[in-house]
Amino acid sequence: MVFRRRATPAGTPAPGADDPFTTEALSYVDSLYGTALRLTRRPADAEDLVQDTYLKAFRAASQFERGTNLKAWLFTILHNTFRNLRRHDGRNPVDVDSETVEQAADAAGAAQSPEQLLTRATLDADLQAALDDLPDAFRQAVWLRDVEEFAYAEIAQMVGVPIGTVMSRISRGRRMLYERLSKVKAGAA
Amino acid sequence: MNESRPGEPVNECRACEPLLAAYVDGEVAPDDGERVRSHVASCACCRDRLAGERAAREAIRARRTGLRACASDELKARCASFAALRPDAVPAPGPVTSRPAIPASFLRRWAPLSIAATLLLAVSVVFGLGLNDKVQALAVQATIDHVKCSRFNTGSAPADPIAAARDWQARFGWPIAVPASSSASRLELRAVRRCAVTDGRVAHLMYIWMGEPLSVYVLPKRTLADGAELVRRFRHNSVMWSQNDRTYIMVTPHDRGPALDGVVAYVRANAF
Repeated sequence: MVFRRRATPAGTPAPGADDPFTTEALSYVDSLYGTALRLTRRPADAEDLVQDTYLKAFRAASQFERGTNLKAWLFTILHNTFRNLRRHDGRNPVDVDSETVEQAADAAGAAQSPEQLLTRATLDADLQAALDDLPDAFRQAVWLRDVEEFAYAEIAQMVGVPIGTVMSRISRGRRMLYERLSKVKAGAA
Repeated sequence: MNESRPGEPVNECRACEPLLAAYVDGEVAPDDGERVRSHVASCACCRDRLAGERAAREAIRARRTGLRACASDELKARCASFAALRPDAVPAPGPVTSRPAIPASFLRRWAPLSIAATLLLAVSVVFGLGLNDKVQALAVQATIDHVKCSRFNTGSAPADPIAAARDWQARFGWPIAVPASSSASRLELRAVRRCAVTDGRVAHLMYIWMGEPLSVYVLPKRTLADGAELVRRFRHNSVMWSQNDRTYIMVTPHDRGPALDGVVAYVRANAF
């Protein structure tokens, strides 16, 4: 049987590998992986998520509007991919009972006062654990704002919720984080 | 949340709460900022909330570097390789050469959860976006899926091709022909699966051929030419063709040669 044999780009850089879009896109692998890790909490799933994100991003590269925020665009793809995976996995990452969460946070924090030493007293591992302990939607919002430094509007677009919701999630997420860290600190004292 | 000073509306706490994040971030509108300042000055509860929020924000920001994770070199390399899938990318001409082996650690990490995701992408690439080299795209996607899927899902016993084809049509509404096991071709059918996220849009016929997993993917559309094309990626050969109104992608780690010709001919003769 005669096959028509396709040449592959093996042994040479991937086509387009050195153009600005590709170079900039690939500079965010660490950021996307860190975020994916916070979303999935499992390194293997995070790698799959990042990989799928880049697959989609490159095949849809022509849809990216030059001059807009490429990092935000990639993060939007990442979150959409995550949502789709979760949907097929029978879970919903934004299915958060906000009222219940808020009440729980209020009850937990009612008798405590802020401690300005929190920053200095908190260990990376404690902070990481406290972040991972937050409900998905709150962790996601806090992470995107305080670690990745996205604007509220960008986060709203990525996550697919109104800006007001983003602000509310950030606010509640931070307070819940504070309560958790305070407990850790109190337990260690 | 109901600790406003006497005479101040209780719901002032609620009105200010949505503004706290922006206030802490210094991005609140001037009027709203004044409102929050004024309220917080008289409400111990909201003052504490604000301080807690600010403390958490600072704790995170002070440790931003430590919180961030580093992607592995393998992941970075894989992501970089996908640049070739850009619609505007032109495959570089050159001889067919072996790709580096896919590291075992990478293979282990691929979870069954995402097994089908790449096939969905391949279908999207071909059907949706019209990638300028769909043959290459399909080969990459099929090979990745083959490697992942055969790692986890290859059945342990021969499968019944007639029952599998009947079951497929009943479940997904479009017929496939499932070439049976063949002693002459040393081909043994093990399973017919669907890709979970493609919801039955791609059939995955799983065989063992000459001691190694062999996959035949069936897409319910004609997207390629009748003549078979061969692409080698990731140390696997993908043979692809369209036949009637189906597209077939066969993936095997075995090298090109008369045996491969034979098994392709067998599948083609028994395909839909």
